[in-house]
Amino acid sequence: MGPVAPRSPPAPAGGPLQPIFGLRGPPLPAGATRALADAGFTPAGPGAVGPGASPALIGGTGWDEALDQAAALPAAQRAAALLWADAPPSPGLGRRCRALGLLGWWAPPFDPWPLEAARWAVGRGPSPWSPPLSGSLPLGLDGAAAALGRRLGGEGVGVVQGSTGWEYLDAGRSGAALPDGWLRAAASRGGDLELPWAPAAGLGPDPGGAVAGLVLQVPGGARPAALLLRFGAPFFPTPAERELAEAVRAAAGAAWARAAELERQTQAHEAAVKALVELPWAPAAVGPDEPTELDPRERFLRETVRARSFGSELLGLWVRPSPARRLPALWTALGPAPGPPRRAEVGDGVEALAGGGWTAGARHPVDEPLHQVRVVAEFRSAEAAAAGRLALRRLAADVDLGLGLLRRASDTAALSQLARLAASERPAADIAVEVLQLCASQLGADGAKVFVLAEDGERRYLEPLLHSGQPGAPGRRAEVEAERGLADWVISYGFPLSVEHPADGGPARCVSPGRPPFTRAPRREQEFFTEAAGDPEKHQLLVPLRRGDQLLGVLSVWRATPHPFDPRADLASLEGLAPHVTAVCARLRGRARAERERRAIHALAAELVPALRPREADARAAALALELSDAPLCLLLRHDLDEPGALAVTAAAGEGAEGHPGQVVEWPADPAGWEAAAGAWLDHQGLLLDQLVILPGAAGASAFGALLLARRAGAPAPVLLLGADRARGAVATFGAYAAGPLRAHPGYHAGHLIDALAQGQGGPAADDPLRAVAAALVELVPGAVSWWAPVGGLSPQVLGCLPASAGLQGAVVSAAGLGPRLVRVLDLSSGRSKTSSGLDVPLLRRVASAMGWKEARSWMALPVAQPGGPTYALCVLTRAGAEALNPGHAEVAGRLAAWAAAELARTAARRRLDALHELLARFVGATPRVLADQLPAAIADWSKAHLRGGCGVHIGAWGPPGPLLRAHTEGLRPADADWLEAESQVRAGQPWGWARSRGKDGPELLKRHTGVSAPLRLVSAPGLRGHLTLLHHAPFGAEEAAAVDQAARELSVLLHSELVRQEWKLQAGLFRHALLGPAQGLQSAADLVLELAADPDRPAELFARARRQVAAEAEQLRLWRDTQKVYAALQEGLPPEVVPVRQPVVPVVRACVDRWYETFQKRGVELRADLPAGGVEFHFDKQAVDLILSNLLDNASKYSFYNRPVTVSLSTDRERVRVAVEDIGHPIPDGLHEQIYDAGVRAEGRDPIRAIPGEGIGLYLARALARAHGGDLTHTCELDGAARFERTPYRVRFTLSLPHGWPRTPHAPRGAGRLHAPPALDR
Amino acid sequence: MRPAAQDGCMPRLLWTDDDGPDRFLREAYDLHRAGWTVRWATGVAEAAALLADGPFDALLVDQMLPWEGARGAGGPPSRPLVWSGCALLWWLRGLGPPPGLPPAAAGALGGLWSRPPPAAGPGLPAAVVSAFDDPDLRGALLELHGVPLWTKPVDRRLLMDFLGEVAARRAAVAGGEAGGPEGERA
Repeated sequence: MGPVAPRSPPAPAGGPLQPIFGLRGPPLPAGATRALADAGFTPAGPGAVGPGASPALIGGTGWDEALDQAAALPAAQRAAALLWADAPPSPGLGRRCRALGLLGWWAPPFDPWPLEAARWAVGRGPSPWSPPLSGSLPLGLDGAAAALGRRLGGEGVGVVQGSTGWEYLDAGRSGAALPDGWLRAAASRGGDLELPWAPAAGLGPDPGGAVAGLVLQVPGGARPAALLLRFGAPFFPTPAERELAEAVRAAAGAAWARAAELERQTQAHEAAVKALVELPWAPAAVGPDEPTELDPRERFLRETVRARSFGSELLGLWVRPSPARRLPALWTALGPAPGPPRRAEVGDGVEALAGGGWTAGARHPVDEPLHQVRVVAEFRSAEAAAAGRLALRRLAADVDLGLGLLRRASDTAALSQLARLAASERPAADIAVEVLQLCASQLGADGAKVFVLAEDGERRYLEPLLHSGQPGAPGRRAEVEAERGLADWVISYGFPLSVEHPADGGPARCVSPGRPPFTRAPRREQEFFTEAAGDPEKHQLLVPLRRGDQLLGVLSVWRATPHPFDPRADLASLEGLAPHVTAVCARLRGRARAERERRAIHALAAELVPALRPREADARAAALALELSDAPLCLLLRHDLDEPGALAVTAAAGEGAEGHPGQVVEWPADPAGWEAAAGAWLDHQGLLLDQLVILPGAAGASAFGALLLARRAGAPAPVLLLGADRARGAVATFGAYAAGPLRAHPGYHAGHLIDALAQGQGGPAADDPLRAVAAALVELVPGAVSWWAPVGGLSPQVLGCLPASAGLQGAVVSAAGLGPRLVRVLDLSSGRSKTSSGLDVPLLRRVASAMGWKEARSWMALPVAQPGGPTYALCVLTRAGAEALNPGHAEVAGRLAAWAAAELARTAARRRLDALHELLARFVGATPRVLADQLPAAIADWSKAHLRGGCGVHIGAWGPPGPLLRAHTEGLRPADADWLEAESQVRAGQPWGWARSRGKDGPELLKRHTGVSAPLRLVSAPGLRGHLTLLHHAPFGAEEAAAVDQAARELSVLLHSELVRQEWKLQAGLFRHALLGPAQGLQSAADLVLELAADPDRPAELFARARRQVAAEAEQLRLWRDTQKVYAALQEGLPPEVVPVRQPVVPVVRACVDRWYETFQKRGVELRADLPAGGVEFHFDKQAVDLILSNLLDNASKYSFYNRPVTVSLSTDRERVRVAVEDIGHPIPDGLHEQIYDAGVRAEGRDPIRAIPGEGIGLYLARALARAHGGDLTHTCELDGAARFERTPYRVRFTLSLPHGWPRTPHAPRGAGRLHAPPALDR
Repeated sequence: MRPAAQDGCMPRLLWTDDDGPDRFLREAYDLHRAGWTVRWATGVAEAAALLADGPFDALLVDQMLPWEGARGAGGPPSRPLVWSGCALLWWLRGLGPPPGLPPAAAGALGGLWSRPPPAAGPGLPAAVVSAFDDPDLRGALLELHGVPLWTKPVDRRLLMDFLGEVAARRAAVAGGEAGGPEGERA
C-alpha cells in the first residue's frame, strides 16, 4: 500500500482516533479511504503492529497476491491484520483468511464493520481509563448484521436477549416487532435457524412481512445475542454466502465478546468515578472505627489522605471541580472538626469554609488551584500546612487526574450515545440536533452548532447548518473570508480555536493551541444565531470537521456563563467528538440517501410492474441492474415453467445483450451447484461470471430467478462493482414485485398470454390481434366462445372470430347492447343479469342457440376503444355446465383487450404514417401553385381516412425569405386564415390548440371550430417555420394531436425540399443572369460594331458607343470569370494564389475606376478618384487588386444613395498602402459587421424571391485576396447626417490595406485559384 | 420592312428591362430602322405607368425586374423580382396575380393590382426576353396564350419577325379603318 499523507493536525494520542497501517499493496481505493475516515481511523506511517497495537491492512492487486503478502508476515502481525483487495471476494476467501490467522477480509463496497471488528479484535490493553469506543459496540454488531443482510439481499439487525425476551440491540428500533416465533425456534434448535421459506416451515411471515430468515447466534457475550436476517422472499444461500455468514458471525462474535468485557469494565469505572464526585458527602472520622463499607468516593479520599501522610494535622479538605465542569464540590473533614461547612454551595476562596466548625483563615488553609479542580485544606498549624503543601499538591494532581479520567469515561459514554443515535431510525434532523446537544452537554456548554463549508466553483461559503436548539439552518451563508470571522479562521487555517467574547462587544480574544493569542471580530450576522438575543455566547470553542484531508466545516460549542473553556481538556474533548460528529452526519446522510433510493425503487417497482408484462418488467430490472452495478453485462434468468431444472434468460442489458434473451440454462436443484452452472453456461457463451445473485420468488421454492453480472472472456475485470449490492437490492425488489403480487394476480396469466401473442405464438391468427386474443380466451376458459363485435356495426371479422356455425350467420346483428359502460361479468344462470346489466340478454340467448348450446351460463363484455378507430366489444360466453366466468377472467380479458387495442392503435398509426408518406411523396417537386391548391385537401382526405372526417386544414409556412406556403381547404374565411397565421407566428415552434369558445369576443373561428395545430419544424432547416392546423367542430384527442404533430413533421420535410428547390432555382437564375446579361450586351454591341464598320455613313456617336459597350461587357465577363475561378478555389479549401510584382499601384486603381465610371454614371452616382500624383510602387498582384476594387465598387454601386458621391482614395505610410472605397448609403446592419465577409452572407439576407444580382461572395473574395497578400480588408460605418427621404445615410468605408513588403510565407499551393501567370520579367 | 406610320405616328414599343438600352444596341438600331419608336422602362412601376399613359403597339418585358427602376427616388435600384415580368403581363391582361406567385412576391408586387390595367392591355402583343427561365414562370406565361419567351442573348430574327407581324397587323387594321368598307371591297 502506498504512503498515505498523515492528517493534520494528528489525532491526540490515546484519543478515539486510531491509526491504521497499510503495509503492502496498491493504494487504497477512494471508497476504502472514506470508510477508514468514517470509522475513525487515520492512516499512519510504518511501525510495529500486533495485538495491543493498531490493525493493519494487507492488500494486493488481487486476493491471491494479498494472501501471499499476508503469508509472508509473522503470525503476530497477521493476527492484527485485515486482508483487502479491490475485487469481489473470491470463493473460500474467508476460510483462507482464517487459515492464515488473519482477522478477516475487506472488499468493495468496503463496509465499515470489518474495521470496527478489527478494532475490537486488536484491542488496546485492559486499561479501564482508556477504553476503546464502547460506542462501536452496538454499531459493530448491528453494522455486521446490516452489512451481511445487504450482501445476502435482505435486512439484517442485531438482537440480544434481555430480561423480558429478545430485543433489538438498537433501542431506536424498539418500536418494530421482532419475529419472536423465529427467535424462539432458533433458541430451541441451539441458536441458529436457517429458514429458507417460513410458510413451509410452519412459522409464517414475521411481523414485518419477511417470509424467509436466518438467525445466527453470536457467541461470547454476557448476554445471548444473534444476527437476525430477514428476507422478503425465499432465501437459498449459496455455499459462498454461507461461508460469508460464518465469517461475519465469527468477527461479530469476537467483537461482541470484547465489547461486553469492555463495557463491563467501563461501567465499573464510570460508577467509581461518578461516585467520587457525586455521592453526598458524609463526614466520618479516620480511625479504627472506620466503617467497613465506604462509598468509592470517600474511600478514594481517605486512601489518598492516608497515602499522603497528612496525619492528624489535616483538618479538612475542600475539593472544588472547575465551575465549568458543573460537578458538585467535594468536602471531607478528617480531623476532629465539628462537621461539614455550613454552606454546600460556595464560591471561590477559602472563606467559604467558614461555618460548621470550620474557621476560615484561622487554621492555615492551603489553596492549590489546578485546571479542573481546586483543592483547599486546613491544617492545625502553619508548620503542618507548610509540610503538607507538597502532599496537598500531589493530592490535587491526583484528583485532577481522576477528573480527567472521569472526562474520558464521560467522553466514551457520549461517543457511545453518538453511535446509538446514528443507528436510530428517527428523522435525521432530530438526530443531528441531539448529537449537537450531546456535544454541548459533554462540554458543559449551553449550545453547539455546526457550520459547513459549501463550495460553488471557485468560491467557498460558510453556511450555518445545525444548531443544538432546533433543526434546520438558521442564519445565512456567506462567502468565506480568511481575514474575518471566527469560523472563517478555523476553515481557512484548519486549527481549533478557543474564544472569549468581551462584555463590551469588542473583538474576541482568541487562542489556538501553540499559537500566540490574537483578537478577531466575529461575523455576528453569520456566526450567531438569531435566538441568541444579547449575544450570550461568552466563550466559544471551535474545531474543524474533517473527513480525511478534506475540511468539511466547523463544530462550535459556546457558554453563556463567564466560565471559560479549558483550552486543554475541553478542546481535546471537542476534537475527540468532532470526527464522530462528522461520521454520524455522514452516516445519517448515507442512510437518508439509501432510504430515498430504496423508496424510489419500491415506488418505481410498485408503479411499473403491475402495468408491465413480465418480460418488460424483467427488461426494466436488467437495465436497472446494469445502471446500478456498472457491470458490462447483466442477464436476468427466471425459472422456466416449461422446462423444470432450467432457467431461461428473460432479459439482458449491456454489451452484447441482444443474443441472450430466450436462451435456456440448465439449473441444478441443489443450490450448491448454481454458481458452477452459471459459470459453465457463461463460459460456453464466451463470458465470465463476475457475480451471481439469486433472486427470490414468492410462489414457492421453484419460483426463483438469478441475476448474472458478467463480462466477455478476455475483457479486464471490472475495476469495482460498487453498485452490485444496490443492483441486487433493486432487482430483488423488482423481482419480488414481479414474482409476488403479479404472479398471484390474473394479470400475470394475461401477461404470459400477451407475451406469447406478441411473439407470434398465437397460431395462424397471431397477425390479427383481435382474432388472436379471442382465440387465446377460448383456450383459457374451457367451454367458452369469444368474439369481437364492433360497437354500432358488424364486420366480417366478427363472424370470423366465431366458430363455424351456419345458424350463427347474421345472429350477431345488433351490438346495441354493447355500450362502453358494459364492463361486467354476469352469471346468466343466477337470474340477476336482467336487473344488473343493460345487456341484450335475448341476443345472448340467440348466440348461444346458434352455437348449438341450449343455454349459456355466463357472459362478459369489455369495450375497447381505439383513437380514431371503431370501438369494439370483446364478448365471451360460456355454455351451461362450463366454468362460470369470474372477475379473474375479466381481469385477464381486460388486459388482453387492452393489448389488442394497443396493437390496433400501433397498426393504425403505422398505416396512418404510411399513407402520409404516400400522400406527401406525390407532392415532392410540385409547384407552389399545386401545393397551395391540392395539399390542404389531400391532408383533409388523409385525416378522413385515418383520424376523422370533415376536418378543415390550414397550412402556413415561412422560410428564411418570407412566406413559403399559405393554403387551406375551402370554407375557411380569409379573416380566419389571417388569425391562424398570426397565432402561428406568435406560437412559433409550439404545438397549440383551442376548444370552441362560446363567448361573444374573439375570432369567429373560435366559435365554430376546435383546432389542433402542430408546428412545422426541421432540425436541418432552422429557418423553416409555420403550422399545420386541423379544424373540426368536435374536440380533438391527444392521439389525434400526436398524429397531427407527426404529419407536421413529415410535411416539414416536404416544405424543406420546396425551400431547397427554390434556392436552387434562384442560384441557377442568378448564374444565368450574371452570365447571359453581359453576353447579351456583348453580342448586341459587337453586331452593331460590325454592321456600322462596313457603313461609311455610320453615325459616329453610335459607333463609339457600341465600341465602348463591347469593352465594358467584355470586362464584366472577365470579372465574372475571375470571380468564379477564385470562388471555386476557395470552396475547395484552397486560398487564392497571388503573384506579387513590384509595380505602381495608381494606374491600376485609376484603370479600374475608369472602367466603372460609366456604370456609376448610369446609376446617378458620381464616382470620384482621389489618387496621389506621384508613383507609389510596391509588390502586389495586379489582377487580384483589380478584382478586389471591382468588387468594392460593385458593392458601392448597389448600396450607395442616388446622387451621392463614391470616392476611391489611396494613401500610404512606411508600412502599408491603403486603398479606400467610400460611399454614402445604406448601413451595414448591426451584427453583420463580421459576417458580411463570409460566403453567402449579404447585408439584406438571401432572398429567393426578391433576388438581386449578386451572390454574397464579393466581400468574401476581396478579403481572401487581401489576406493572401498579407494585408486585410476592413470597414467602418458611421452615421452621415440626418435622414433624407425616410432613409438615414451612412458613410461606409472599405479599406484595402496591403503591406509594402511581400510576406515570405507562401499562402497557397501553386495553381490554386491562380488568376494570372506571373510576368516573366519579374521572375 | 419599315411599317407605315399610322395616324402620323410610328409604331411604339415599350421595352422593359432593368439593364436598359445599352445591352440591346443592335436590336434598338434595327427597330429604329424598321420604324419603331422604342420607349424604355427599367422597373415594374414605371412600365405600368407608361402603359397606362400611352398607347403602345407591343411590349417586351424582362422576367427579373425591380419594382422601382434604376433611377428610383433617391437611392439605389430596388431589388429585382423574378416574378415581376410575369406579374406585369397578368395585370396587363386584366387578370389577378398569376397562379403560383409566391406569397412573398405577391406582397411586393401587390401594388400592381391597385391600379386598373389599360383598356388595350388584353390585346397588346407582348413577349418576354429574359435570362431567367423557370418552369413555374413558364407555366404561368403559357396560360396567357401567345406570349413568347426568349432567352438572352435574344435571337434578333425572332424578335424582328414578331414585331414585323405586329406592325403588319397594325398596318392592316389602320388600312381598314382608313379605307372603310369600300377599301375592303377594293
